[in-house]
Amino acid sequence: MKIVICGSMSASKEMMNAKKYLKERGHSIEIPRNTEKYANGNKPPEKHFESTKNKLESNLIQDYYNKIKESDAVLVINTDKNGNKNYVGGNTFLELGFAHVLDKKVYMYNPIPDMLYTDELLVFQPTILNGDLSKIK
Amino acid sequence: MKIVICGSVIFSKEILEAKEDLEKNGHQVDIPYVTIKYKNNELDLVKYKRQKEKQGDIKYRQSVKTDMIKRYYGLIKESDAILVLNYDKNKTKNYVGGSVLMEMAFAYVLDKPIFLVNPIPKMSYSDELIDMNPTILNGDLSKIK
Repeated sequence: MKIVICGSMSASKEMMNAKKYLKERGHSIEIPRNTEKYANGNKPPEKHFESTKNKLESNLIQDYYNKIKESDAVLVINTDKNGNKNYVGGNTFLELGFAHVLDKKVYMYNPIPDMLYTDELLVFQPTILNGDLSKIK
Repeated sequence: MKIVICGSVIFSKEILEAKEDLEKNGHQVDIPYVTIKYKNNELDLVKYKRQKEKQGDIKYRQSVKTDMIKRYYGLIKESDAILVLNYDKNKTKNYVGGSVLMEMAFAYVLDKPIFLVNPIPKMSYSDELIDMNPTILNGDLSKIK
């Protein structure tokens, strides 16, 4: 399967691990730009304004929409962030929305978080992996 | 122009007013599913709001056949622009809810202009809203050309 991995840069290490695991099982994987640099500690943690600047400069939202369009499934690595359990950030939420309207399978690494857009996340009916990537077939 | 109005359904009255206003100026306008139900007297807005505050609206969403998110994606795809009615809600000035954030992203990736009736709110996803570079109307719908 062609799988697009989504998540916050705070989950960069987990995203790299998931990429490795799924590639070894024959899947083709896309991860967010700079994930590897963040995972290796070569980039400072995202700051509010830097984050906006990055997105504007590289048009990340559009880029990810196109990638999801070409994919079979989306995997969200929603680990805890800043005290938020199973955090799904704004960008990731949008990517899930794209996957939903484009009729792609949606996998979530951890259960749906309690956030402002929990209702919408429930509508997407993701397959919850509870940390077990082998459930992706 | 073909315009899709986006906004929290608790602003249904305002959505219907804006629709009328835009139609008078020759635009063709689409509105949210729940607002249509409200307009047709098929939904009690006060009851809906009370239930949403208590336990979200997932039960309502599951009870209707229409996938409201997919419906709006389809409408936005066929539109020329979207208008977001971001009024104050739950003590948040110029509130943009999750669904509306997503609709703005649909418009953005489909290259449709985004009009915001009020400035961008301070919310956890302000960054994403800024990214989408909306035109701020400051309450003046006649600026939509």
